[in-house]
Amino acid sequence: MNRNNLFLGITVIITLTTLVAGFFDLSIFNTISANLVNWSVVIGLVALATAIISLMRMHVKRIMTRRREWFYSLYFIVVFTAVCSIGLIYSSRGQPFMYVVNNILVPLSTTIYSLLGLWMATAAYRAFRVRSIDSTILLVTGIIVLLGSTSFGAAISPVFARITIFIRLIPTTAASRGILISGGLGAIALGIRILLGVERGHIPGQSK
Amino acid sequence: MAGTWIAAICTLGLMSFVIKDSPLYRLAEYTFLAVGTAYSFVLSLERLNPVIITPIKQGKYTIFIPVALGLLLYSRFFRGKQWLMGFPISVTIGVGLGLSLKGIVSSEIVKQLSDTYTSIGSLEGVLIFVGVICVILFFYFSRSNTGANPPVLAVARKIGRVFLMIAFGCMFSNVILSRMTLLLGRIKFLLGDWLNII
Amino acid sequence: MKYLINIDHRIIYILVIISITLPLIAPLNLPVDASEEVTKIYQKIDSLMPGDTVLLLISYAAQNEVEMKSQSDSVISHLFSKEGIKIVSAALVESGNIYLNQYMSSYASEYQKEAGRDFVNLGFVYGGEVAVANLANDIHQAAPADSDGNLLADLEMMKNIKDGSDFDLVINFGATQLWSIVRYITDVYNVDLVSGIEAVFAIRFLPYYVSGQLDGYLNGLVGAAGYESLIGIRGPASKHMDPLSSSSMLIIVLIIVGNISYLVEKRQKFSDRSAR
Repeated sequence: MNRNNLFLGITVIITLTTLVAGFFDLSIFNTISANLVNWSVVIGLVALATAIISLMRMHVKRIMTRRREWFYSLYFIVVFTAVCSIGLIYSSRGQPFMYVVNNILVPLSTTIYSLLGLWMATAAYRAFRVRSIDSTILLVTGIIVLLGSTSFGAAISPVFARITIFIRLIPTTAASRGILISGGLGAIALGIRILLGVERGHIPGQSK
Repeated sequence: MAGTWIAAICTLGLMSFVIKDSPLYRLAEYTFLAVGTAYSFVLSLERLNPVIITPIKQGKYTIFIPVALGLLLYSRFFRGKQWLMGFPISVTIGVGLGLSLKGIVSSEIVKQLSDTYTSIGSLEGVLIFVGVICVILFFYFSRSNTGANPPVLAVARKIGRVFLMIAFGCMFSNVILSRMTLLLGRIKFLLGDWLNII
Repeated sequence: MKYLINIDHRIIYILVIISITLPLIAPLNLPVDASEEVTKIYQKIDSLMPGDTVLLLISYAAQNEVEMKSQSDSVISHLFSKEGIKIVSAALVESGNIYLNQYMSSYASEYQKEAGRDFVNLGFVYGGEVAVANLANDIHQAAPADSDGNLLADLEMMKNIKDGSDFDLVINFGATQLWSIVRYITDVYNVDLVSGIEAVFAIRFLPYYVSGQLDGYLNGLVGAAGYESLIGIRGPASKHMDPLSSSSMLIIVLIIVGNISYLVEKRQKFSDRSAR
């Protein structure tokens, strides 16, 4: 039997088992499906070091070949090893590890996305242009909803809040629902393509 | 106190990017990557005990099957043996596909369509119904590109487009609120917790 | 006008920082109202009776701390004030575990609650979408031990809690796994669900709210401020509404000025071309 057909067969059997368990109340399928779901979590957990190994290999290669800015890779490996050691020795709830998390990870995480606020302001000035009817509708709606969501808008007039509620509950819901349903239909189509073997990108060494 | 200074230096290091890409920014960036990766790794390692060791201690030896499958994923580092990854990948794809297909059909298609239909009794419900149909038709890309399309389809797509632009306008305002919230959090930290100005 | 056509980006950055800093230094204390979807969360939590079981899930990342912690602080303080409820808590993302541990530690110490009897903290549950499905199917299989290493089978509270159907309310913070909570818990077991959502993702979940799959939601910092007004406090979210409003107004002004300068430039180019 062809290796790829074997993998496709495994995928199909497991998918159908999980689907039957989801739609019908058959105890044998429910038990098998529940176990398979748990197995999926275990597989992911056991394999988590693969990403770390790949990352380390990339950085070590950069250091060994002295590629541009290789010292940053060295810095990365040193910091990663140090933080991992602290976490494994003192546990993730220990004081030393939480000190690193609260004073380094959390500030850096929040800062990296906060810069978007500044760039958004520049984009508002330079890029958000009323070039067509579509962009006009988008910008006008955006401005009204922005006024309706903030306390300044409410202080100017309560009409903005009322229009905002209407915009959210009717056209936005309709469009979001349409996108959700269309996306769902697309996901089902992709699922069927995987089950029929048309899409084989997930199988190692395979292309469509 | 020292912790606040460390957090402030990290914050300013990353923020220095708005002036220019500098070694300080690069150090902050790599610190974030290293600490973030280490944090996820440590937390995930700690899950090994309750998810794998505990069931083994309880006598549930079938857990060795997914452990063995997970170990097969390391075959990617051995030349000529990468095909072994197919086993665990097929299992995880199969489970994910089965769960998501069932979830999508029941939660995102049946439930949403039935709510769209049952709410037709009011004016708002009619507007939502019309909007949903028009937006779905907007995404109907496999229509004929040669020859005329039914006028109803053309009108429906135009209405769908208007609904989509209004929704994107609403999303746009939410994105502004979200991004500004992130920025004000950092400014408040710098001026309040660090410099004690506010 | 020529100056307005090409404002330096550094001036814009300074204007943004000023628009945020000024209201922080001199707050206007504008009133904040709670919208309908926020009020529904308040009512759901307020109607919890002694003996009810709540599944509390934290699935927001550290980068969204400002808006999401404001939400979870106010909602969770309201939840913790209810007597006699049982809470099972879990984090679905790694960084959510930071906040979850803080909340559950304070529940134990400030409210004199006992782990295992009044609450069970499962800690970080690995697996994303599959983890939610696993929790919904069989909690004891998904998380055989709590975050302190105690076996769930030995905990008094968990003897009657096996799967998603044993909960009266699910409270989630974060959009990351909200769709899987709807798919595998809410729709399968018909459990009430309320959630705090990051503003950037809130619109995606409007269809769930309108269809009743989501019983109430908090839309970013605005929702958090609304919830604070319901529980009668002027907390961090309410105090942040002033700088948020002023910076949003600045964005509106920049959009208008940018478009005026664009239209003027366009007209100038057209008149230059016709003059030639």
